[in-house]
Amino acid sequence: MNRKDFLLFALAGLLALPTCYASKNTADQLEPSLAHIAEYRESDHERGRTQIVLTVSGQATKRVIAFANFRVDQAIDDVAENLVPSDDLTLYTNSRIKEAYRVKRADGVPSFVVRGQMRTASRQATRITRLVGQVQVMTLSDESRSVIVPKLASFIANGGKDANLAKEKLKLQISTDNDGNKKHIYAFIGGNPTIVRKIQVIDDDGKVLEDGSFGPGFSLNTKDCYFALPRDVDDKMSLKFEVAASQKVISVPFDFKDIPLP
Amino acid sequence: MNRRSVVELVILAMLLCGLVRAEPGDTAPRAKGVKVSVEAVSEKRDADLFPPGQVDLKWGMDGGLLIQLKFQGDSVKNVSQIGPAVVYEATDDLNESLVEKPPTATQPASGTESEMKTVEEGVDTDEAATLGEAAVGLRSPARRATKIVRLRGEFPVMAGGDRKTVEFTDLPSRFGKFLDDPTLTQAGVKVWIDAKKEDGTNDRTDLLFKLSGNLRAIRQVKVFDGNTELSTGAWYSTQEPQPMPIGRAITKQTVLRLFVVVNEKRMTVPFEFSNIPLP
Repeated sequence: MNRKDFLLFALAGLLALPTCYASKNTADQLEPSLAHIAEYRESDHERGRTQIVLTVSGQATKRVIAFANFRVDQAIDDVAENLVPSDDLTLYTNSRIKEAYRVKRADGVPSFVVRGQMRTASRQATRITRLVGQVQVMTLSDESRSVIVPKLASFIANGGKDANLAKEKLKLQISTDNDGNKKHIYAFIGGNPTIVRKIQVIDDDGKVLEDGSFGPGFSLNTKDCYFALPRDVDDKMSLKFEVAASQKVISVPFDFKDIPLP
Repeated sequence: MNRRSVVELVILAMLLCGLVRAEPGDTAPRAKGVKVSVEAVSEKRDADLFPPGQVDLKWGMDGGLLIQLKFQGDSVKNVSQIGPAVVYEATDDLNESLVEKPPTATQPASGTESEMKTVEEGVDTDEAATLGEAAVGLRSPARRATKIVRLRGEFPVMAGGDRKTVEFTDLPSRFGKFLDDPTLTQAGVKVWIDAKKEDGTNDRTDLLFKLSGNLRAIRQVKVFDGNTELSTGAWYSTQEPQPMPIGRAITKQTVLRLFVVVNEKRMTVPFEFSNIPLP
């Protein structure tokens, strides 16, 4: 290879770099790419662990709220060692439902980050020749619908039970302030809180009295919400939930080849 | 060749052979009879697989090698501070140097006062600690390397001295004053005490302390009523009065006991190892 050929070859390699660790498989326009790899080695642990960080990109990621069940089905290095993690390595980190952490790519394509674990390659290995697996992501539809819970004071008095909420698999613990202030209402939403986009207290005529503000303790299992009403709570008030019309769980497969080890 | 030139040549030859090491070591005396062992070796190796700037993410700690050391010996009893280690030599089996930041003649080999880490002393023990832990940071070796063939360096400690107990009675007569005691003077620490009422009570049940000078000298503070221990605590920095709740009225019978270390010294602990396996 002469010098010109070598430079052309190198340039072609550099141009290919942004996509060379992008998996060809997509689902609902979700494109996984391998962003980062980190090996943690410790003398008192036989194999340590390796964290692989994927970004999943595409316009469809705007509807993704969570991911779970990161799974490595095939992982092999260039000294033919199997790097598929054992269950005890992945049980905690890979099976929990996690909120999708959003990042901005330089090209503006919306993305979120997925982290998973696998076994650490030996020091003799230099590349992961094949890494195949999948991650499940939860998406919400763009469309919403409203669920109205009437007679707010009675609803609080009977412990937050309502058939329409039950249909949405929503569980509510709702109460007024402990010190007897009936203008302040706290609601803890369990069940399937990720579908809830907004909660409002409305009057008989549909006028919004208060937009509920979600607390900082947002998790995928609970949401807490606080209302400061303009008057004491009564049965002329209703709770209006705006929930996503549908949600679905889809699998995003990935298949990467020839990944250099750090 | 004159005699001076011959001497210079011999010294140069010794330097080249490693018989004399020109190292800007800490001027503090070396701690004697201290056993240093490798407790653990950990390494983080990582790589961004995107081109730089593609995704703006911070990935936490930087990669590198960390050697955890444990040291033990009578000369480092009462150890109160441990400084960052300086490494003179760290070579892997591919003959690559793993020294992250070599010491220079103008830079002190070991930590400045602000870089020293304070050893938290357990509040339930009166025993002088004779062991501690230090960490050595190194550059990550090449992937193919399998061991560190040689590691040599030192780290500074504040340790040694004598542990003394100073006792004060009739505390109410000392409120609003500095405690007068030759051991405290010798240790270079000033202690001012007072007391205050806890909210909603009529008795003064909280002792107040303000320390200045060599704050590390006071390792523990205990308050007794006869033989009954009422409270125990430790402070390392108290520019403002710090309350110590006693739980009952402070009377003439209340006894304050300070555990003080005098003549603590800065010293360095050398370490040298061969053939440390890499994880």
